[in-house]
Amino acid sequence: MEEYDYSDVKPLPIETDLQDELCRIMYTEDYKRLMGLARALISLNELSPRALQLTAEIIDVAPAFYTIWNYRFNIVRHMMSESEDTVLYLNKELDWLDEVTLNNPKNYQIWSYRQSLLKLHPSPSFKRELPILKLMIDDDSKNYHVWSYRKWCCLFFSDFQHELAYASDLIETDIYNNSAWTHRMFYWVNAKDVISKVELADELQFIMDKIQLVPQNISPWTYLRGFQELFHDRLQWDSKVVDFATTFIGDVLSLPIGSPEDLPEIESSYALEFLAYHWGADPCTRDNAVKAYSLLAIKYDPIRKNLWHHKINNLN
Amino acid sequence: MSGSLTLLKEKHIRYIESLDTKKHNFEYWLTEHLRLNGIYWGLTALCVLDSPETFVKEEVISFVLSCWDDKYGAFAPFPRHDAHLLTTLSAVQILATYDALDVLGKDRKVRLISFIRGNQLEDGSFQGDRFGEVDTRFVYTALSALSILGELTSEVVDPAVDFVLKCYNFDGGFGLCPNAESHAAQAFTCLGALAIANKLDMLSDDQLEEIGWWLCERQLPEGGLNGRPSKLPDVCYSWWVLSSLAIIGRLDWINYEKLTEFILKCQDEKKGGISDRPENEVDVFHTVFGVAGLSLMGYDNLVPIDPIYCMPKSVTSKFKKYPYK
Repeated sequence: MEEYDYSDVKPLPIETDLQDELCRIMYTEDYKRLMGLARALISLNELSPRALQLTAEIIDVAPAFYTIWNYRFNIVRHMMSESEDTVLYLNKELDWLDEVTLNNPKNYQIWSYRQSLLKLHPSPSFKRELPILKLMIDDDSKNYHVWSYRKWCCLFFSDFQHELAYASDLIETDIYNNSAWTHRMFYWVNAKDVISKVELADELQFIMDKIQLVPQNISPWTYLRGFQELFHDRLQWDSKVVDFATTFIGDVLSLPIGSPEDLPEIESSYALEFLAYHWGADPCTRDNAVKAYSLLAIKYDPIRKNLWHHKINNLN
Repeated sequence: MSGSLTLLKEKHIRYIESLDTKKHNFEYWLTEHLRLNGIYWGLTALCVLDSPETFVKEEVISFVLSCWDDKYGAFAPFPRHDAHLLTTLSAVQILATYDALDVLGKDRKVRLISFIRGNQLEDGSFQGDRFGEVDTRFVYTALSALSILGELTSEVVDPAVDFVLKCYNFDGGFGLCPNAESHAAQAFTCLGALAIANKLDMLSDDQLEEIGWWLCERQLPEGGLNGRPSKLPDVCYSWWVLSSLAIIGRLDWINYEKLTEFILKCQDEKKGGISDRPENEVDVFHTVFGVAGLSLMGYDNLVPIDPIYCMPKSVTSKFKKYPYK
């Protein structure tokens, strides 16, 4: 790391009249020194290599301190305009940011900073972003900011070509990953007008295969309902899906509703809920819906019994 | 069972009181960027526990004013930091709780309002500061702050409402921005923003049913609430989910007894405070959202809290309701 001279800068100290604990003093003093220098340089609006270096050191210690990100962005924008090769300069900044990103998976300033850099970049590339996105998701497959950033990239670059396969991979790895299921829906919403009959059928098969693997998993059931709603004008699978869902609830619908202990276990309460929702929409099957909701309230999802009673009241 | 667990009110009050005396702690300096928010969380928890006098009012107000960023005309989390929407809301909430908004004075109030309005973008969303981090949290923050100041206008409200409605998802939840995955904290910021704007009627009955379903689906069999499907429970969702359900009038879709038990199990019985889940380290953030959640469920005569503003109802009942007459 390059050494810069800050001896001409008069630090603006943090106001404090407190004595530091001995064991903390070294670390704290160093941090205070950095912050004092930063405050001074910010107040002078110095946009220089040494100011840039200082922001890196502070981000290293306190990455959530947003003021320093603002300041760094101003420095980068200025130095970029003075550099001979803007693309090279910004790519170097992105390289630095990749390192910081890997060390700070929970930080979210990073992602809006990254968006600002890409907007500034004369020739931004989605391809360049894919490795860091992959590393971050490998590290935490439900990282909210990383997923949001990935979607932002798809829209920013108008490029969805990797998304369906990527969502499939993540679902293969963890079938409960709601972020991946949601991303899949994001893909279809954006492919709504170009989806083919074959793709529709394939997608239904994909959903059913995943539910078959783990029936008691809320994400694909919610996804199934959402997918049906999205393509309601082009789909006629009602009976196929209903028959499929029915395979997970045994024969409970034909049993008398007695005490919870007398009722058998079923493979999926979400299947029962899905069916209740479906049956409730048609007056001919309303009785089945009432029974399904009653079973949820009594036995299969009793923690939400007030919701199920509300649904029954609505049907009556 | 919750019958054998009780809320350790006195311990929680002492825990919150102790926080600001830890200035020798390195953590204290690292969390400068959250200091004003922290004071709001602490004060609100104390209000719910009916012990606001634990903080010295004059000292808190004077600290709030020392966080004024004169360059941008709003509040920073700490003296000499940059102004930010989130901390500006905290400052306004603290002052309103103390019935002390007058200390702003006319000039500061005018600049504050223009700072908040100035951060609104063309699509109706808000950025947190001039750097441009955008999400529905900031829409809520801006509308809440303007509402507390009695300064909402249709120029601000209408596009903000449009933006919030775009964050509604197919599953009945709300995301951080359009297309983002549904998240319980975002349900609160979106529904809170709509409630403040008096625009909950923009949601259809079917949508309200779906939203209510998505929210109560967050309760796990063991009682706690999670923020997204298949994630672990966390006490802070006792606030984000319950307040959202309260706003749409479906609070009873949650099983109170089980959730109460979960929150009470997250208390530190020795030093006070509430953690995210049992056995973890406590902090003021989870403490306020734990007691606020209990207040919404009417637990043990806690001081009633307003689900829209996350402030005592006795304070918010004085706010002007939008649209202004």
